[in-house]
Amino acid sequence: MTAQAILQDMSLCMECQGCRVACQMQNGLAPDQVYIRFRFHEQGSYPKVTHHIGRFTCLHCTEAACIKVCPTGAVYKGETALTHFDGAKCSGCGYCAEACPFQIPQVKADKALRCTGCEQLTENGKSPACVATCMAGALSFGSADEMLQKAEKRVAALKKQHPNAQVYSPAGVGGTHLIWVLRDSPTVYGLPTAPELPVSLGVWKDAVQPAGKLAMAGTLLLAGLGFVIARRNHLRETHEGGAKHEG
Amino acid sequence: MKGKADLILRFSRAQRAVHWLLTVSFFLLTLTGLVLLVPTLSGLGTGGISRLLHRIGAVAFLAVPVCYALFDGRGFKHLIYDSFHFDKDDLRWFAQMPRYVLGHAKNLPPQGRINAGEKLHHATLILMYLVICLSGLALWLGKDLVSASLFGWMLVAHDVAMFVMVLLTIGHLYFALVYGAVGAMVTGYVTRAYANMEHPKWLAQLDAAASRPARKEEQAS
Repeated sequence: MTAQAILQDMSLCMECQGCRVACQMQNGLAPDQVYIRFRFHEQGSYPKVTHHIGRFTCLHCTEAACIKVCPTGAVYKGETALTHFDGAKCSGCGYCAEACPFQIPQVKADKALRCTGCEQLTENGKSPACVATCMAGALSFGSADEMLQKAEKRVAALKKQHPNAQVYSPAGVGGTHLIWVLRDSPTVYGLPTAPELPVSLGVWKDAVQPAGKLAMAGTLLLAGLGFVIARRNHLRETHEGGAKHEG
Repeated sequence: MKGKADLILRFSRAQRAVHWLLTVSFFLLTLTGLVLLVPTLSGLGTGGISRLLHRIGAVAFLAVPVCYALFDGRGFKHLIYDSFHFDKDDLRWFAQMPRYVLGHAKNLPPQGRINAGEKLHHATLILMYLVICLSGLALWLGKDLVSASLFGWMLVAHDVAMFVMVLLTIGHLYFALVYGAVGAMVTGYVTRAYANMEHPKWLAQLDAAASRPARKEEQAS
């Protein structure tokens, strides 16, 4: 399957929070558990200020920090390039919440609360629950290329009224498979301008851990072999000299 | 036949207790930590039991130097001082270390109460102890205080220190088993013949001290 993406157009969102409810139904969440959160933000400056509640959920980064750090493999990529989550495997360690450049995952009652990418639906060519329910047409789902073109076209139209309008799919995380159309600069929405996958996480997972495991296995093997020889030498030596270790 | 006179106290009661506290907490931490390192074990991490055990282990592990300082302050100071001071015999000993690795302790440069290899083992362990405790505390309690990047570096530091400590422990176990040294850490005593072979400078010190009867109790430190 080609890479898919969700398009989230903040200029069309009417802030009804229907996607949050559809998501809760789809994923069997309790009323106080959410994968989609809404955050307040202000646009413009006095006297022309507007208040908004913007939708925040997983951005489905191509180079996902959460996948890098998850020790149990509870977070993983699907064939659609969306990021999936298996709650049964989650140990609630909170590493993903810590590593996410967008601070999206939350940990409550020893489980991460994070988007599952509606694996059952999206891997079978269907739209995720949030997209399917969106009445305003602010969310759409399709091939990543198509969604990016659609976003760029929309931004070009928005530019006339909103000069700061832009597509948000930051390159620092390899692009995202949740592509935003923003009416204003990312900071207005509380989004980082240049998020990236921390170098340290690559060093940790791709250098330190494999090298350490190899060193551990190698040392164990050498110690096992060496022991047979060394123990015999020692016994021979102490037998001659009559020295014994234990008291 | 071995009489009581043939036995020398090498490890005080407090030193032995602290050693085994370190052993138990270290192995508990290593085993519960492996759950996050070996993918096939990751199933044990769900539910948070391994995390709870890891934190119980961490508290015991943190208590090790505190207990050592409280119950045998002098021994603690000596050990730290000794572990970071290498003399000429120690350097010559390192040059001949491969022989010791293969089970030959005879005719090596004379050693004090702890040999050069043990000194290096302790010194590295102490440094790694500091790294693993500080990074561990940051990962446990500092989650909201450190940035995502610094958090990543704490994971790097924690794992590097862990690997070094595991390698040291494999080495430690190796020498303990080759030289049959486990009993000494249980009873505290070693034979005079052993001390003469592996730690002659220490034995000489003890004998000199024994000729000054009032200071006999210093033997253990």
